This record gives sequence, C-alpha cells and structure tokens, in this order.
Amino acid sequence: MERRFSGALRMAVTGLVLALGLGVASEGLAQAKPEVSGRIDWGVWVDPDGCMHWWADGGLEGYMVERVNPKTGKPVCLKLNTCLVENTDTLFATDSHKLTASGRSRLEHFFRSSGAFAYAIYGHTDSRASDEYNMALSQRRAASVAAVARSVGAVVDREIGFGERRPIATNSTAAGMQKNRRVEVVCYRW
Amino acid sequence: MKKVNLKALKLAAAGVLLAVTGACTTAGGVDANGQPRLIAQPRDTSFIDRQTLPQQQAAIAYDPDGCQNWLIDDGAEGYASRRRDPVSGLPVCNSEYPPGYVVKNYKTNTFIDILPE
Repeated sequence: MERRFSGALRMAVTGLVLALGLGVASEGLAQAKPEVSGRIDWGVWVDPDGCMHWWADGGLEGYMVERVNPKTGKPVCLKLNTCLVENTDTLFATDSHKLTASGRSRLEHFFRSSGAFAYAIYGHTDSRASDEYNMALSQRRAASVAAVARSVGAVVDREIGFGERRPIATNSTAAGMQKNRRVEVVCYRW
Repeated sequence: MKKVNLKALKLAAAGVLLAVTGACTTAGGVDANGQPRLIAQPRDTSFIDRQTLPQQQAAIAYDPDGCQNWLIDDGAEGYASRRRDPVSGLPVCNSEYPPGYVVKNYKTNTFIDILPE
C-alpha cells in the first residue's frame, strides 16, 4: 500500500516535471497548439463557371470556401470557362499586334454571338524572345482583341498580357510552342 | 415566398429544428472512432430534405466592393463563396448592379424563409 502510493506519487511528480519542462521548452519554440474542437467532412460544390468550392452543412449553419491551388492561390476549376482560345498565328502576323482581316472578322462574329455580360481577354506567347518583349507583345495583342470586342458593343472587364509566363504546353517542341501562342477569352455570364 | 413575421412561429420553427436535427449536443469531444466530433458534413441534415447542394446553381450577390459572390439559400443554411475568373483567378467585379444586390434565384428548396424585419 505504502509502496504503491509512493509509486503513484513518483509518477505524478515525474508527470508534473515533464509537463513543466515541456511548457518551458515549447514556450521558446512555438506557440502552444490550440485544442481540437471538432471536425468537418467537406464536400465539393461546383459553381456555374466550373470552379470548385468546399462546403458543409453544420445542422443549422452552412459553411463554404473557395477551393484554391495551395501553390498558386488560383481557383481549382473542372472545365475552364474559356469561351474562346484562338491561336495567334492565324489572328496576327509574327511579332505583330495587327489583326489579319480573317482574324478580325472571326473575332467580330464571336463577340456578337456569344452573349456574355462581360469578357476577360488574356494574351500569351511562347518562350522565344525575352520575357519583357513577350509581356509587351501579349499585352498589345490582348488590347487589339479588346478593341474588336468594344467595336461591336461588348464589355471588356480586363485585358492582360501574360507573355510566356503561363504556358499550357512545353516550349521545347514546335507543336508545344504553337499551343502556347494564344489569346484566351473568358466569358462572364449571369 | 411570403414574408413571415411572427415571433412565435420563429421560436417554434427553431425548437422543432433543434429537436429534429439533434443539434443540442455540446461542442468538443471525440466520436466512437476516436476522431474529433463531426460538426458539419456535405449533406443537409434537416428533416425536410437530405440532399447535397445542386451543382452549378447559385444566385450572384454583389459585395460592398462591387464584386460577385455565389450565394445559395439551402433552407436553414446559407452559403456564399467568391466568384473568380477560372483562368486568371481574379475576382469578377463591376457596376452592373449596386453593391448588396442579389440577382437570379438563391433558393434551392421551398423551406420556409424567415426574412429580416
């Protein structure tokens, strides 16, 4: 009885010393971790643009957050709501932001018929030439496409040149580079 | 949906919901598997419907900055999340409607709607 008590006491003292020691040690390293209060089994809801959101029903409450790529912070979308991806080889002459006649008429037809309340226009190049040059060229090309959109009454919310920074294919083959030379149009619909 | 303005009805509705959903449990603790207690899951637990959210259906709510958010009223629960351009990740903002305005249908069911006074 006496021995058992002293054993228990020793353990309690050891525990106390450990706890104190840990407390002191963790104080210097990092903030103490907060207590776990619950768990959420998140489900996926896909919005009309095809982008994913996490959601969960808490009985009387509901929770929802956008799903984003942890590396880029961009939304995670199933089918990208790009209404139009045009290869720039047919829209423009090499290294130029001047539209070809057929390119212009194709774009006019597109912006007249697609019926979105607004558009975003993004220009891209392959990786030849300097990054700076490509940023400027893709910006000028996006602006050319935006001008066509406005000429037929479309609302352009943004026109951005991403240069060679957002490739969708490899730049080490001719076929890949051709894919990267593009103008993307996103349609904002109700 | 007609606006309901009776305090007694609100209380009754809240009472029924609490009783039926079993939401009167205390927070914290662990479940039978030793996991933290589940506080939310991807299906409705009310007695009217036990559905998941209908995909690709939402109203658009303008926030005070004029940016669009997806908005869903799923009966007792409400959900909102930001609309972003799928390519650039930028928010979708404009002055087509004033801040605070909601366009398109925000309700997913015919659950009674208790609107603010």
